[in-house]
Amino acid sequence: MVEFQNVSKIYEDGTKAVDNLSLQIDRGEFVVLIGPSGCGKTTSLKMINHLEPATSGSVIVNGAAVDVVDPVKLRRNIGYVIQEIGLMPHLTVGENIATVPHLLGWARKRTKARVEELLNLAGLDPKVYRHRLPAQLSGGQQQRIGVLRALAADPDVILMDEPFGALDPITKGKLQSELLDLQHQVKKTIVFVTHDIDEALKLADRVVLMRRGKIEQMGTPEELQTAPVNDFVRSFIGEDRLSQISPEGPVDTLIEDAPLVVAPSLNPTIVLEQLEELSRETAQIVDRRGRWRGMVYLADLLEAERGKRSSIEGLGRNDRKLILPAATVRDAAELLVDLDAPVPVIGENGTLRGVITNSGIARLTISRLTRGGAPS
Amino acid sequence: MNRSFLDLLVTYLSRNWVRVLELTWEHLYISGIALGLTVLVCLPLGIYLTRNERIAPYVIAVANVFQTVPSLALLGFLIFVFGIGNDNAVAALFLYAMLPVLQNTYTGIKNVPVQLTNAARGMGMTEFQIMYRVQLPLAVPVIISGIRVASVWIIGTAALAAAIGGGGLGRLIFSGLSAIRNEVILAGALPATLLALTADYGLRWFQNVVGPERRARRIAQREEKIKIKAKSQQKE
Repeated sequence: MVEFQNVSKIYEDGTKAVDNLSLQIDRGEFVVLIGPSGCGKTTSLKMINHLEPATSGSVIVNGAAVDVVDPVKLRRNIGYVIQEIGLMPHLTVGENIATVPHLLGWARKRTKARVEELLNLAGLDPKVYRHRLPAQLSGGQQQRIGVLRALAADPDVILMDEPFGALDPITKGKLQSELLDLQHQVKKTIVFVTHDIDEALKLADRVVLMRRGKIEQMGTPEELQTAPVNDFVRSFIGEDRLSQISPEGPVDTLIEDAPLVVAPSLNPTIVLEQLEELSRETAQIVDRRGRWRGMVYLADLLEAERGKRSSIEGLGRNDRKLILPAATVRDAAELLVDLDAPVPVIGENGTLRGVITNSGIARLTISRLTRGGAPS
Repeated sequence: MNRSFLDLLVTYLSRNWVRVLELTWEHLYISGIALGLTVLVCLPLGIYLTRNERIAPYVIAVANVFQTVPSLALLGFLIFVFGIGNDNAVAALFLYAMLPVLQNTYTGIKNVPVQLTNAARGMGMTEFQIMYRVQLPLAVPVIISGIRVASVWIIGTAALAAAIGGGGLGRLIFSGLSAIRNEVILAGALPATLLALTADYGLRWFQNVVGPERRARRIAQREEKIKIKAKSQQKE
């Protein structure tokens, strides 16, 4: 859908904004470009709709090089959302959304129907909002309209340049979730620029982390978090994430490897020996296909040994657990308050992702305290 | 102002009201043509300057010079070009009032936030569409206030046209001055002042009417009417 082939951008003063970038973005993919300021992410984005011409290499959108096609036509087929929102203050909300359909010469009725459809999609009553002026809306509502305006003519590709950067955290989180819902419905190819790693990890199918015009690492949010390729990536992800952790945040950063994972076919005595060796009181049972079959406690194992059971099959308890990705830090903490034993974390397909322990939460708390200094 | 002076004014007006009206009309006519010419020339010129910024300071400097030359002297100079009469007056008033319209058109367009023109370009507007759909509409309040200033200047200065053989309310003022009759001066000055105030107020009203708030309300009302009409047709 969008492809960068050895693209470089060198400004007149000699600064290399983008350095030999190659990147392929598939149809329907949500790609987030992220990096410190001056890393070339916004420049790269603007090369897609040819607001910034490349110095060398070529950018290809929908099979055609952007420097060959008419830029006006190109841009009308690419949605564009910017941080400053850029709604026209002299036009009504309806007219703002209808900008590109109007440029494309849609019939009045079709445009009107589309505007109403989009407003409904964003949960804004057309009767109330269509004839309002942008100045009469809150910042969050304005950027919702900004997103709708980009969607209006149903473009295949949508470019978003730090669209939520200027919003307060609560509105920002809401709009991010709305954008994800919207993306599930409309399946657009979205290229999204941000400097906020939490935003990137929340939204992206694929994160492209850039520095000095080059890609440092590219991969799914999980890949970046679990396998950062160098210190730069580690610090970029780690520092930002730790400072942003909240009780309602995901538990991903708290997960540690389960100390003992056993097969259901094992004899209780063997499991007891292993636990003793590690001086632990629980073990996770995982079957041959990698599925989690429960957590077994020391007391249950002792009883099974006395009962001369041949295997621990069926001994696992599975009522106390956290399911990804919905589990929050608060959920984890509440389970740990009730019982001081590791809480297993289960991935989407039933696999064991690891455990969360009290000491993990304590470590997180300490790191936040030392980072944040005195409470404000 | 004593009673006898008011009496004199009322008597003068009651005897000469037709002439006062005629001269008011002529005044309005001269001013209107001058203002029309100013807008017709300076609005496009101002737009042109935003596209050719290198020459902008020079052109604005020239307009500034015309505005700084004492208006009476300007009228005098132009006798060599246009002779005496109303043509000369219109030309002088035009040159005199160029600056506010030109300057406000230029700065009004230049001051449109760059993120709006960027957004417009990013959505696929041509440079021409960016101009007439985004920059011009947003510059309208600034441009209109420039025209307001020009109109007040023009109507005020048009009184001097009489000095070089032109018409308008200046005739009354000048003849009143030479005859030392205050009531005649006032019979010319009062309508001229009223004209200037009316023009200023009228343009301010116009600016409000074309402003986004009123426009949005009109659009909503128009749609409401269409809906009601459609409903009543359905019932029939």
